[in-house]
Amino acid sequence: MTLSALGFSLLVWGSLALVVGVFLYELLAVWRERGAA
Amino acid sequence: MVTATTLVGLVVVVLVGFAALGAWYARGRIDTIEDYITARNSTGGGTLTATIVASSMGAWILFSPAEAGAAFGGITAVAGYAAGSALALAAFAVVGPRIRTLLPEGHSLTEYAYARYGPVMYVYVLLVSVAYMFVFLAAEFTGIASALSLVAGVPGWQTAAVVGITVLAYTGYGGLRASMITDTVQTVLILPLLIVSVVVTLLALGGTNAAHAAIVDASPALLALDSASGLEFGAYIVVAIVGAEMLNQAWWQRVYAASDEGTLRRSFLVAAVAVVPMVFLAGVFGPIAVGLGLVEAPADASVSFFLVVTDVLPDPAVVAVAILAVLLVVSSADTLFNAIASVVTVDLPRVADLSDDRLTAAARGVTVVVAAAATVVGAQGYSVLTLFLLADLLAAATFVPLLYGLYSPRAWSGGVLAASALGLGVGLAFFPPARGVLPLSALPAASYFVSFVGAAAVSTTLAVVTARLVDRRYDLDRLGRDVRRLDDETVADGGERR
Repeated sequence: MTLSALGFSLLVWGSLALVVGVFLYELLAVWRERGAA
Repeated sequence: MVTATTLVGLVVVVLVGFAALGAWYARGRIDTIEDYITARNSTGGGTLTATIVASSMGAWILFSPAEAGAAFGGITAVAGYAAGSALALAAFAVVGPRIRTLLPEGHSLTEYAYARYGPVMYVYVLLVSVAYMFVFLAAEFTGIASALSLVAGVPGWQTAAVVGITVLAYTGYGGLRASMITDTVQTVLILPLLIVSVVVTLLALGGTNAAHAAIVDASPALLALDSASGLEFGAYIVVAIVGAEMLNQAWWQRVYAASDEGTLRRSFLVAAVAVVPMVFLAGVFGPIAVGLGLVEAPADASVSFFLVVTDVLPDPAVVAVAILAVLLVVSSADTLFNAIASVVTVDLPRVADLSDDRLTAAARGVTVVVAAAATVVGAQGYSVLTLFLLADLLAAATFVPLLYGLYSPRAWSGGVLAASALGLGVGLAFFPPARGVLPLSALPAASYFVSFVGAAAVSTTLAVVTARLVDRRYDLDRLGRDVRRLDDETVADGGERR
């Protein structure tokens, strides 16, 4: 069973979206901590 | 092509900036050895997640997952790499709170091994843990030296020296606190740099469909979801990574640095989620490099990511990727410098009566030695893959028996030592590089899958069986009484220290 072009595209762009989400979460979390300190 | 002088100049500017940040943050915050190696209960969720992500994501993510994707089974091998990296961190979300509950004033896995199992297991765990961390460190230095050599022809010794000296400057001075604050900034830079690097490269390639088509044309097997070699690689790499990371002192330090157990669980789980797409995105460059015809020799597979980037991106973008690689190395190197220093320092009070100031000085001294050794080894350009696999195998045969003692009062030193030794024996019997030096031709064919899975399975089974065979009970509450703060008035074995 070979990964289709659509599946490959979803995996790559989905992974990118997840990294963007983690980045935004991190920014927010660090910002809040610095604000509270 | 970017010149070596330009790239080294840029790297120096970036690293001096981090050294200044680390030193500035640590100034006035290092009063005792506890501040230097533990930073106990001091770190909130944002910073803790960032330091876990940064420490976990070394430059290896730009080499090993892509190599796995190009040479060890394609997309399924990459998925195995991502799963192993995530599971190792997720495991600490479970084991970490247990460690804090049983050893609330602890520092390291080795002092746990000593208190729970005695000196023989302690020495064994110390050797395995330090060996793994040092090989990890040497691989990072070797990797960044080869990457900057490929991108701009920078001599390996220059790269290793610049990274080693600047990281030593702030880690030696500020210890774990300096490492964690720089990790936080590095994560905030690494994530967008990785996103931009991947997006720009994919667009330059013509999009994901074009990349997919290139792989299908050149080697469609790399996209097979049922690839036997890929699934086999994925299975043993999970065991290898989880085993090794459970013996990585960097995580034990961060278990104690967390402000509370909820923060600890959440941060390790978020980091576990974060590393999956990061490893996957770096890993797909392996099959893409094959698709573009850039992997001409087996050795090319490990630099697949850089081969693609240098092939399709303009110089400024290549420089950005090189800076990303340097940030990845630095974020892991500072962590490992301090982790190795801490694992040695924690045990010094057992053999020498040292004041708190002298302990801190000793930790700094060990940091200098570790940094010098990593710089020298990294500059040589050795292949450390076999050493890495051997250190992983040692850990695979050790981590379950070691951690079993956190949960079972029946686990005992002779039983777990026998379990680890026999697990290692089975692992070595099927370890492909061992066949060249051990007379084992009568056995079935060697394979990494049988080696790693066998080592973990045999050691786990024997640890449980030996615990059931002997009617012993260890009072787990003793761990909390035997392992104490280093700035406390009593030492680990309960006696007066000063």
